[in-house]
Amino acid sequence: MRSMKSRDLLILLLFVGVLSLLPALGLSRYVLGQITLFILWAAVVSQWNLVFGVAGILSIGHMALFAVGGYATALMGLYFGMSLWWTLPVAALAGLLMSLVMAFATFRLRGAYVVVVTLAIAMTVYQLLVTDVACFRQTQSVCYSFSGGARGLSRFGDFGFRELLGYSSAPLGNFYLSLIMLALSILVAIMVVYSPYGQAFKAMRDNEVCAASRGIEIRKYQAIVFAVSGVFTGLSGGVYAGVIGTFGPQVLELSTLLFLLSMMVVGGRGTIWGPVVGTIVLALIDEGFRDLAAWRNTAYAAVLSIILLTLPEGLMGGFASLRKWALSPRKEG
Amino acid sequence: MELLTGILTSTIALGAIYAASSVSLALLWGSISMLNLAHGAMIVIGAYGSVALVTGLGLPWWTGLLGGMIAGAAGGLLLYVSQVRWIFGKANFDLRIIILTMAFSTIVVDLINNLIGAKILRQPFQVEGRFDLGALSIGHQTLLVVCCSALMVLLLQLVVHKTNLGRLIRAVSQDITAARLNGVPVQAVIFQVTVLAGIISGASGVLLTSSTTVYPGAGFDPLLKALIVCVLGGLGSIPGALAASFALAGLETTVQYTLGVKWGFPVSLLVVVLVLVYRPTGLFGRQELERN
Repeated sequence: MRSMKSRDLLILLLFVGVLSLLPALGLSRYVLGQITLFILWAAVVSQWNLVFGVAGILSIGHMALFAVGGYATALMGLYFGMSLWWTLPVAALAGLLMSLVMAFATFRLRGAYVVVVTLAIAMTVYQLLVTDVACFRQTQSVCYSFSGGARGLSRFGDFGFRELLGYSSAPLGNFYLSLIMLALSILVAIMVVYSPYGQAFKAMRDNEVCAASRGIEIRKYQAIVFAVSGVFTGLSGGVYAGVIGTFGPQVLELSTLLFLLSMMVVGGRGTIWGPVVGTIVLALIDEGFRDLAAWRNTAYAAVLSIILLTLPEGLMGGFASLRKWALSPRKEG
Repeated sequence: MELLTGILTSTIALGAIYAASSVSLALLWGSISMLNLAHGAMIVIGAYGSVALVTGLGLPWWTGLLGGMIAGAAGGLLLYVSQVRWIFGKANFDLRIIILTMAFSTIVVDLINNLIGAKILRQPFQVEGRFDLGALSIGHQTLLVVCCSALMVLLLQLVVHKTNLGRLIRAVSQDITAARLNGVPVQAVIFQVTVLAGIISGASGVLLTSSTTVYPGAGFDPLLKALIVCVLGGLGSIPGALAASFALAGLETTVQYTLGVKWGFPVSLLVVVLVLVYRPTGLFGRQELERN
């Protein structure tokens, strides 16, 4: 057990080390931007995976946690002119509060009921945002609503990398900040999975009745996993808003949900490295369909379907069973 | 008084539509534990089927419902052939089919967007005119939709409770292994259930879009509402879905008349969540017993 944990920590160190060397390759601004974006997605999916994959709570409304984090940062930057660094704790807090709402709503529910309720909550947040058209502030002739409505928010400040590093190196600052976010997210995932909590989550997922009969307080652990994931998902939302520079209800759209869900499922839900592997695969597909943007969602959906039909545990699961098969003693002849 | 009759007629009209679109979800979950997130896609397929038959081929308006049913059947067939048959009875079927049907609906919406176009179309399944009964004034269209919904739900109940297929469906839903051991062709039943659900969803798509418009994403909102209806009624219970349809329609129209249109869905969702905290399997749901 301990050796597994050290192994994963070592992989994390190597992985982050390799990624941090990427800008030395002299990547174009576009490529570096895309890599930054996918690093942030991987951070979100890793946290979502703690709830969905590790604890087995089928919450598909997880982007709501991300959205409130992002909106917390964007709104505070916009209306209070705060440095975005100071808004990050608030983003984490917003994610925590939203996750507790989700946890409360799904407390006694199982399986498909959890799917429906969490999806409905996320979509309600989306609809409330999109229909927010009441005039809140006026600039010249244009009227903006409090949350920015369907257009979302922009020009709410950044992390100040432009002043610190100069205009041409600002993307580097965003890149390394995102990388730190991902490292933190995976580190949290490793700590959770190998903690006694992680064992309880696995027990819950594999057999809830047996877990309960052995004295695992299911509801307490559900609230804890939701809370941990909420804090770091909200934080990722804040970082995303500052790095990308705009934040809108699009993060709650079904296509974004399917995109992130694909990362988790294609990579392998419930494993530490599945979300990372899935993100790499989806990033490659995304790049491949750059000129065929209209068919992008179809491509994600098709890959997702093929994986679910053939390798239900994702690429990591397929890899594990391949290794098991290769290492198992076989009879000759 | 005027407000009250307004709320009442809206409730009946909306409740009938909810009922028509949620019974097929209830059917699939109740018989094979499949949460069909492609239901929205079936609704859209049905709506376009009607447009194709009436606007495209120039047939009379009432054949639109037929077009919706045929298109929905084709959608159900596709769903069965491409997904359900491969993983039914395999590990994690219930989770995998949820994600698979979500992917299915994404592909359908994308195909419509790219091949037919995102243009907003008019649903031709419509009649003009109003009945005037004193203070009450009901459009012919509302009456048509209510009657069609009622007829569909009634027919489905007849199929489930009075026909041989219904007996097989109920057998499969109670215990698949026992059904198989007693000679029920389980795969064939699942095929028929999926196509039947497709037909109902397709027809409900025609009814739903007759009061709105036809566009590629038209199925998502009805899907969400149907999901909430089914969860409140208890997943898999057709009577539960019917009761929840009218309860939620009443709540939603009341809130819309008093607090504003925007708050209709959020308030209903809040009420559903609170109900679920006390009754985790909905109003009519069964407590699932899991074998270990």
